[in-house]
Amino acid sequence: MTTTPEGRAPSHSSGARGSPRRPRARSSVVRRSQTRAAWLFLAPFLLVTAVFTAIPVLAALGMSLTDLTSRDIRTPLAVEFVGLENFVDVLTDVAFQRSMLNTAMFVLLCVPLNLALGLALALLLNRGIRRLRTFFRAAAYLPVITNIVAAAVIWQYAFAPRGPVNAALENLGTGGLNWLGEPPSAVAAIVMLGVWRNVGTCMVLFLAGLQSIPESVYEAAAVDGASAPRRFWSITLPLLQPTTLLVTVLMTVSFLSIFEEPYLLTAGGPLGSTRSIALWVYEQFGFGNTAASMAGSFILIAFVSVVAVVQFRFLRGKN
Amino acid sequence: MMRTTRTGLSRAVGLGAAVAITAVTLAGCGRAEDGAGSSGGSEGISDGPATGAIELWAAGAEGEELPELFDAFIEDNPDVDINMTPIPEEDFVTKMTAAIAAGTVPDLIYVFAEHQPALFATEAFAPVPDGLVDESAFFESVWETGQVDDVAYGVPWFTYARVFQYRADLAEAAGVDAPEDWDDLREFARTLKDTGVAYPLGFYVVPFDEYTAAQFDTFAHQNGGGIIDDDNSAWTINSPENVEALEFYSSLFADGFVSPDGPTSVDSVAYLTEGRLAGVLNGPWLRGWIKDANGQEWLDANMAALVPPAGPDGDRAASIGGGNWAVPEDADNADAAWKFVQYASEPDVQLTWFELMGNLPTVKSAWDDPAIAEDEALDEVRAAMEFGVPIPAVPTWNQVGKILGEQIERVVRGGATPQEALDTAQAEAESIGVGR
Repeated sequence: MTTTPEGRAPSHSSGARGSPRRPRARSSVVRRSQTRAAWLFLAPFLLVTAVFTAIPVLAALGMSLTDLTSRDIRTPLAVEFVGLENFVDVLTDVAFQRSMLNTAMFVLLCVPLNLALGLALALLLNRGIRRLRTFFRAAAYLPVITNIVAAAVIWQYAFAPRGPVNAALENLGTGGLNWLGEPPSAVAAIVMLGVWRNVGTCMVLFLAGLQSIPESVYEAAAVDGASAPRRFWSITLPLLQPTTLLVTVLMTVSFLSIFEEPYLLTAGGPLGSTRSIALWVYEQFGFGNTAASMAGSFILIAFVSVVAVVQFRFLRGKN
Repeated sequence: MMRTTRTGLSRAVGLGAAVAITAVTLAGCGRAEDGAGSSGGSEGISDGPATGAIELWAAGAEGEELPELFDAFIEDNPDVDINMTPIPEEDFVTKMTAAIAAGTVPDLIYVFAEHQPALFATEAFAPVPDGLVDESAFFESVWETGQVDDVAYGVPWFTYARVFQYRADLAEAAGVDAPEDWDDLREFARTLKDTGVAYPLGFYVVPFDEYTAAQFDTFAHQNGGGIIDDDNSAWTINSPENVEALEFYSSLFADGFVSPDGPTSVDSVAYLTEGRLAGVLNGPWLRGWIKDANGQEWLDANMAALVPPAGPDGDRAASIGGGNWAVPEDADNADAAWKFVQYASEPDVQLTWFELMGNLPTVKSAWDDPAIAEDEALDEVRAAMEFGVPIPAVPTWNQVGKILGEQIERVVRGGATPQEALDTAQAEAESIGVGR
């Protein structure tokens, strides 16, 4: 094989990176041994992926094509192949359809909010706040590492009819809300919990993105007389696009499989208004409807994969 | 963070893998003993003290107090070790089903009546060994709750009937008598509402689920109805008697006597203490909670209990439930586990449990102990057990109960009429069946 273009430009990069690289012609022997090494290093990851992702997904698919219930789990030979019957049943199930709509709603509400808040926090931390920057960064990131069960208990208390949130609202002169008892406010409470919990991740990613924008670009723009808003719209946002798309994909995938927030805060209620697909799947497994649960989880996997692939295509196209 | 948000999915998928892998493994093994369970009876347990480690899974708050009982058992069986894992009540069936599928079962479980049908339907539990306990020592109706097709898989550990518990002092001050029937109940609520009690009545409501459905079932029985037929073979959710019962039940919400937003079961202690709640349908443990919070004196001076009010034709009904011991068929140390069950079935051990948790014994002779016999409030519980309505003992109960609970929520929040809601619940329940 001939040398790659990158390999032929050592004199430039060596100075900049501080690590001299000498040009070399890679023989096919070297190449093959590198490939072998790559596979060797990849093997543990591939093994883990196979055991914890690929096999379960295939197993779920297999089971979703049978009439397996928890009553058959000890007599697996007794189950029968029913083809796509479970998928038809699941997709026509009113509760599942509702859970799809709920999930879509969580994605549509939480992802933009997370993006906007994460970017705003990152901008503040990157430029606005100079003092106590580490403290604020840690504070914004704290929810990410907080145990969700503990957090949910506190939120449940906070949003109780006579909890602190309502007490505060009443002090402000507005009446309290029955937060977790009425569908719209229960959804709002879950969205708030979801955003609170994920905004730190978005912030960290945006911070990394912001810090990778060379200062010289801003300096050049300033010399040309660009105002601060103009610099934001014409430099920061366009150069942040790869980060924005990455964060969008991560958050969309994350909220498509939202589970803990509704499970812990409202158990899917009131009136099933916060039951997500993942929660529906979990419930069905508990009810013993193993095959239906697997069909539901496979539909969820399919959604997540399609959305992720479409978004990544978009990402690659823009770059 | 996204990694943890994804666990819901990976958990579900992981369970799936466990099921599939075990399915394959088990299929390869060819389980010869599968048919043995249904023929009834089984071998006894070994002589001598229990040995080895017992893995025990316990559901709910009960798990916290159980270790108090271990010491005496270990004293008699010095070579035994008990490792208890408490599991949140709402996750118990899911975790246990996954464990059965994966073949990693504990040696002994302690299961609530509500979860029992779904678990026993997996056929993964061993029949109670012959001669382990004296069946006739137990209340018959309670012993039957552990049976499937006349074979006992569970040994009843405690039982209860939910009774009407109310602030007698507030009722007296307001000049209203204890409610004997539905009309009295409404009168009781109205009078106390007029004297400024925010929530005259508290039902099990938050969240609306199978517990709400089970509570509604007692109202249905008080009106001559019921949500499942007598031999547990068909759902009868939208019968005219049930619709009428739901009309009465929901009218108490509509009139502002009950709030659909609580207080919940646990909250009721604080609400009762503050006088913002006057009467609840709850189990005997509530008295223990109130005693812990306010002391025995306050309890005796202010609280009274009685059999739940009767329906229009004088029919009485109270929900009964409890907890049972069961041993999975694949348990590693079933012998020691059954010995612990035997120990837990002794009257004095059940009495100790009564003192710890306020849960009533399932062995009849324990009720003769002064601690129970001389407690007037428990007389009402004992009387209510006569009219006990157990949860429908079918494997699909949790699913149907949740659907019914959600439909009841629609009614009390003003989104549907009782007829519409029960018709919907009936249609969905029929499509799910009774699981047999």
